[in-house]
Amino acid sequence: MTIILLLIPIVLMLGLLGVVAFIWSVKSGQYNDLDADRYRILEDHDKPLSREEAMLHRRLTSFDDE
Amino acid sequence: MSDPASLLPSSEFQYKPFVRRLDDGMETLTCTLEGVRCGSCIQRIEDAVSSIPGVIAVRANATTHRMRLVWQAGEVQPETLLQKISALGFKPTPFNPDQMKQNARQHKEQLLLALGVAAFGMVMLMGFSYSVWAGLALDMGDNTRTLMHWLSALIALPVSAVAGRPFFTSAWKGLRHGQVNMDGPISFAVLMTLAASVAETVRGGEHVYYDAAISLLFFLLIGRVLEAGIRQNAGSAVDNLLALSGGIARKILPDGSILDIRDDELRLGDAVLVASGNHFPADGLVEDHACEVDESLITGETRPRLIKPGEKLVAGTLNLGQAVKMRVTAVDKDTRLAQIAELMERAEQHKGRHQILADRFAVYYAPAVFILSLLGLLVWRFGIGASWHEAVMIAVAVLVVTCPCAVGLATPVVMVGTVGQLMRKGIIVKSSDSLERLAEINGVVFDKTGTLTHGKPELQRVSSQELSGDFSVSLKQAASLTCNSTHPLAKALTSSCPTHAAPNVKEHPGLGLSQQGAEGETKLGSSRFCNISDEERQKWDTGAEDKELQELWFRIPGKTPVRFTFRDEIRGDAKQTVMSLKKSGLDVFMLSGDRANVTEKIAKEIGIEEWQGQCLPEDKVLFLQKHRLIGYKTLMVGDGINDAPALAAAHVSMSPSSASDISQVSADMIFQGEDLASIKSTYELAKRSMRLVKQNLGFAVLYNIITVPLALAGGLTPLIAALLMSSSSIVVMLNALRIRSA
Repeated sequence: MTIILLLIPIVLMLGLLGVVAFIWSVKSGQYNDLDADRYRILEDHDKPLSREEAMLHRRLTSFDDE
Repeated sequence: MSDPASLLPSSEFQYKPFVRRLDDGMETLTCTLEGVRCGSCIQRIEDAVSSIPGVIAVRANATTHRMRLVWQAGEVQPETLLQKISALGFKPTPFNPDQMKQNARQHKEQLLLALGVAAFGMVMLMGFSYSVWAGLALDMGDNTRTLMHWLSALIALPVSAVAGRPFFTSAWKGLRHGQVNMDGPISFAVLMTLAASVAETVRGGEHVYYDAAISLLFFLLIGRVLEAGIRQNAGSAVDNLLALSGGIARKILPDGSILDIRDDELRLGDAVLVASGNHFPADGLVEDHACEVDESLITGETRPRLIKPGEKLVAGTLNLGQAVKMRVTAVDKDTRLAQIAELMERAEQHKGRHQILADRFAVYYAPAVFILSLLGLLVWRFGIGASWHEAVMIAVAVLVVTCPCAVGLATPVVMVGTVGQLMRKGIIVKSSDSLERLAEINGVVFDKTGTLTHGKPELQRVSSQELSGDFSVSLKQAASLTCNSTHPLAKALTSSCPTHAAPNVKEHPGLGLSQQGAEGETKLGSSRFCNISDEERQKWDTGAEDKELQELWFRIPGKTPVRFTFRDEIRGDAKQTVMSLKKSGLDVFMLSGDRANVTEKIAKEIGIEEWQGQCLPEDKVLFLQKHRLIGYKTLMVGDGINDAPALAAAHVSMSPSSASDISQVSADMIFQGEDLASIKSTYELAKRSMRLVKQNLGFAVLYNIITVPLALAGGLTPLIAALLMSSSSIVVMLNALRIRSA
């Protein structure tokens, strides 16, 4: 039964990971516009953005002042 | 056209004042979007615009109906982008994002975070609790059980700090202002339960209620998130309107050139050019020539007024004539419009004091719960002689079982269903308590112009007959003259008989239209303009009532003059709607800014006995306040700027989506389309939803009657508590779904 001394911390860690991931997703605005995001995944982007371009795009289009 | 200023090109999209510079030579613009129906519209816009060279980023939001554009200055003109979007079928309107309020979205985000954390907590705690329940049956050792309890405490305490925050802060705020709301008992129950559970854990005891406390928070948060969703959707629609009402003014600089600036940048003494069909951006005096002005938004008066040079103009009224130069005499807070807005804000304050049913319920519920709990404590300790510890556990059991899950969920789940149904019918509801207020009304007050009538003149008769034979030829000819005029009577003619524009038509503001032809001058306008003699007038005069109608005379050289009469037509379903409202037991009234005799006639035709004409916005507010004192709870339905204060002063208000921006902001509900029947159906739905809410609350009381004795008798365990809590919530939610079968 002492196995639970190992299992419980693992469970807590995993749970914590889940909570942190959830908090991050809400704070990064992923729940702001569920209607449009459903369709955005269907978009065809022929040229993938470079890392800098992607970061710039994120910064420019986040509706922070809403 | 003699006025050179009216020949100046004006951009279809007035965006320049709203463009902002970013670093690296980038420029950005934020717009509201009209015509977005779904997410795929967003995709089309983004695809189309991002393929234009020079565009750096474009992102459209389907929830708030807004769009952000970023481009490299010089490589592409914003105009190109806006035209592209417009060509796709969406109307972009640039605005200043600083005017936006962001509360609704942030609030929803906070609640969503609390919900997620509560969900995590509940799942983890259930894991531990289940192991204890199973363990107790299978002979789990005391030390293991205590370990489980400590682990539960480790999770429950931080989780409740995050998930409970919305309730604790709301209860605290309420307490400070002396108001009781549902969050008081909820916070008390959660905190007491956690405290007692910790004490029990320290003792190494058997019954702890961590999962019950967190589950309670979880269920209640579901209701709150749903309600916040309602507010977010309605909130952004309203905020978009606020953005639109900040418009552009065309300032005339000393050297004669024109500069487009924002309305709020106007100063006293500025000269402004107001084109035909545009609203006057500030109060002022006419400078160059007379113009016809439509004041109906401000006063409700349907007839346009001719304003001569040197006379006053009011901000918000519409210029019907040619472009006119105006000297600003009042801006911002000093304009008549601002006075109306202030009247509106003062009238609105009474709404904040309205307590929703659930909160009124809490006023009795909270003390009752507290007393029962205390009773249990005292009876067990002193009556039965149990130890302090046992007595406290009984008290906690009562707190847990009177769990206000059913009460806390009773209203939100019903309201979400109701609002959803109304949204599908095209009715926007701004908050769930406006539905509660709607269910309470005993009287309805209608504005006349634009609400019960269409708000614009329509062709009623040609001479003394309905359109037929010879006269329809005259109508077609007259309509060919009116094609390009923005005067309401001219527009009425054009819409009743669409045809090609005749060449060489000259407009004389305040008088009429003329066309020089081979046989002489054809004239369309007032009887003076067309030189109608008394005997010619007699020919078509059919009685006294004719004098009140608006008319246009049409003189073709060599033929008998034709007379067109116009009326602001009553909406098709007005009479029926009023009748059905009366049948529901509601008293119906009508208020109007128009002349008394016109108002009386319309009232008689629709079937409204009590009416009042020549009302200024202040008069409408007074009427509503007077009726409130004699016990009326009124629904106000109106559309013009002159109705906005009344919409705020009524118990609850509705506005058609064709209404002015300020009215839509002021009203509690907005209905699309032309049907007044929406009013009746919304009222019926509101009443039904309140019935369901009361049923839910009644169920909560019944549930307590059954379970509190159980708790007082000491028969409650955490397992039973968890089961009761979940089942009561489910029953309440299932009952709420019955709104769909309305």
